[in-house]
Amino acid sequence: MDKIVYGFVLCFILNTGYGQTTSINFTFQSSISNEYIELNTIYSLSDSSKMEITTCRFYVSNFTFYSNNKLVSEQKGAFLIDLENPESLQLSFPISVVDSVRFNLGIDSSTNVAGILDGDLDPIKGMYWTWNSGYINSKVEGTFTKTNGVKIPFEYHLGGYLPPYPTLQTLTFSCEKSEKIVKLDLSEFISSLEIEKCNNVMIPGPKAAELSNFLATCFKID
Amino acid sequence: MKNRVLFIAFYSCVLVLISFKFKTEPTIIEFSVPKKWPNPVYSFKNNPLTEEGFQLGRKLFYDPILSKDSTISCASCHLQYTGFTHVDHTISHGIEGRKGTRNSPVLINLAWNSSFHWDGGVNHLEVQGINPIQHPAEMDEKLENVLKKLNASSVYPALFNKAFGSDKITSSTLMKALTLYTVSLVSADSKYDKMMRKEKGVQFSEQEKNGLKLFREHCAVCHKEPLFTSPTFASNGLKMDSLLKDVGRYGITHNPSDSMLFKIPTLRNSEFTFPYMHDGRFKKLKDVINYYSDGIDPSVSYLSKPLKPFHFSDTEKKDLLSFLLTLTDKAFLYNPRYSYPK
Ligand code: HEC
Ligand code: HEC
Repeated sequence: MDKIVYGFVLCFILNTGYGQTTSINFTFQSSISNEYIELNTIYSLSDSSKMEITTCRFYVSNFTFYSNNKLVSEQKGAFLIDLENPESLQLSFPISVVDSVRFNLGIDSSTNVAGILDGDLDPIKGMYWTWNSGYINSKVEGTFTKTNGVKIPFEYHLGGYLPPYPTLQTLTFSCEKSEKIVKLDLSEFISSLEIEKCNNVMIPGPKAAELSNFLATCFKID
Repeated sequence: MKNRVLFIAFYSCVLVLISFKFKTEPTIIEFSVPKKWPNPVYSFKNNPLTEEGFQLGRKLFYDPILSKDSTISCASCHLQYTGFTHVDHTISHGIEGRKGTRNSPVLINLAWNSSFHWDGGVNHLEVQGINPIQHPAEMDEKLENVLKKLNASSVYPALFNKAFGSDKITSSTLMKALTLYTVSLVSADSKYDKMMRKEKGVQFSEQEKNGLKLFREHCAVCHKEPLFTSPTFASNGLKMDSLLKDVGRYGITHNPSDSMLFKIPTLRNSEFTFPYMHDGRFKKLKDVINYYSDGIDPSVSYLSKPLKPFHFSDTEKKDLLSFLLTLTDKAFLYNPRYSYPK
C-alpha cells in the first residue's frame, strides 16, 4: 500500500513540474498583407480585384530550434495546418526561448517513400496522391475576381518530392518570443500568379516546384 | 473513503496486468527468401509478418466490402490461377463494368519490386492498395467509407485486434494487412527454379536448354533472372494505342526521355498471365515471341537497347516458348494458402 501512495505523490510532483516548463507556441493564420482573413469570405485587394479562399491546407514538419547558431532542439514529425480546422492552427513545443526556428513547408522525401503512415499523414486527410505516390505539401483553392468582374476559380495542389522538381521548402525565422504568429499572405501569393494562364496545378512538375518556392516567400512571422 | 480509492486503484492495476498477460501476441512468421535470390525490397520493420496479419489480408483481398457497391474484390482483377491477373480482359473491368485503362499486372514476387504500376507511379506496396479502392473505374469507394464499413462489421474489428492489437481499423492497419498478403505471394518453385537448384530428376530438354540460351542472349538484360524483371523502365517498341494514349513513365516524371517507357514485367507464370503488355494487346505467348522476332519497328525512337527485330527461326521460336513454359509454377498458382479463405 505504501508504494502506491508514494506513486501518487511522485506523479503529483512530476505533473506540477511539467506545468512549469516553458514552451514556444505557434499560431498559423492566413492574411491579406497583415490583415487576418477567413475562409469562404470575399476580400477586396488593393487594385479592387477580389479574392475568396475556400481551402488552405499545408504541412509543416521537422521543427528545429537554434540558440547562438547551435541546434538546441529537434522536433521530428509533420503537422497538417488546415484553416478549416481551428485545432490544427496551434502548435506548441516544450522548449524555452531560442534565437531562431527552422521548419519545412511540406514533407521530406524519406517520409514520402515510407509507406502508409498515421495521424496527420494518413492519406484520408486528402493530402496524398495515390497514382503518383507522395504527399501534397500544400493546397490553396478559391476564386479570384478580376477588376472587370470576370471570375477565375483556382486550385493549386503543390507537391512532388522527386528531382528535378522537389517542392519541399525550408523556412527560417527569428524566434525570441514564446508566442509566434505565422502568417501566410495569400493575397501576395494569388496576385503575383499569372492566374489566367495557370489556375490549376494538380501534379508534380516544374509548375508545382515554382509555385511552392513562391508560396514559401509569402510566409511572415510576428 | 481514501482507502476505498486506493483499493479501486490497486485492483484496476491488477486487472490491467492480467489483461496484458493474457493478450495473445500475433504469431510471427518468417519471410523466406529463396536461395541465391537478392534480399527483398519490402522491409517488414514497420509491419512484421504475422500469421494473423496474413490471414486478415487474405480475407480482405477476397472481400468485395472494399468496393462501393460490394460487387468487386481485389481478386476480381487479380485471380490466383492466372498469376493474380485478370483473365480474358485486355484492360481491367471494375464496378458496373467500367473499364480501366490498363491491363491488370500479375501479383508475383512483389516483395522484390521497388515500384508499382505500369508507370512505376506508386512508390511503396503499402500505399498501392488505396489506388484500386478509390479509382472510379475500379472499386470507386472512398477510403473513409471502407474504414467505416469495416469498423461497423461484426467480424473485422476482432480480426484487426488479433493482428495489430487494436479494434480500431485505420488506413494504416488496413493497408498493412493487405500488404502482408500480397507481399507473401512468392513464386519460386517452377521447373526453372528446380533446375537451378539442381534438384534430383529435373532435367531441361534440348529445346528448353536452347530456349534458355536464346533468352539469356536476347531477353535477360531486361527480364533478369531470377526474378525475370528489373527495377527500371523500358520500351519494347510497342506503338501507342490511339484510344488509350498511354505515355507510360512520362506521365509520372514528365521527363521526355521516359516517354513510352513501361515497367518490365516478370515473366514468371507467363503461360497463364495472358493477355500480355500494359494494354493487353497480345493474347498468346506465341504472339509476343512473334512480335519480338519480326514485329518490332526498329525506327521507333523510344525503342530500348538492345532490342531489334531478332528474326528467330521457327525452331528458335519454339525453343524460346518452351523455355518460358518452364517458368510456370503450379505450386504457386494452386497454393491453398493463397486461395479464397474458407
Ligand atoms: C478493376 C480491377 C482491379 C481491382 C478491383 C484491383 N486491381 Fe490491382 N491492379 C489493377 C490494374 C489495372 C493495375 C495496374 C495499374 C496501373 O498500372 O496503372 C493494378 C495493380 C496492382 C498492383 C501493382 C502490381 C505491380 O507489380 O505493379 C498491386 C499490388 C495490386 N494491384 C493489388 C490490388 C489490391 C490489393 C486490390 C484490392 C484492394 C486490387 N489490386 C484491386 C486492377 C485492379
Ligand atoms: C529492353 C528491355 C526488354 C527486352 C530486351 C525484352 N523485353 Fe520483354 N518486355 C519489356 C517491357 C518494357 C515490357 C512491357 C511492355 C509494355 O507493356 O508496354 C515487356 C513485356 C514482355 C512480355 C509480356 C509480359 C506480361 O505479363 O504482359 C513478355 C512475355 C516478354 N516481354 C517477353 C520477352 C522476351 C521473350 C524477350 C526476348 C526475346 C524480351 N521480352 C526482351 C522489356 C524488354
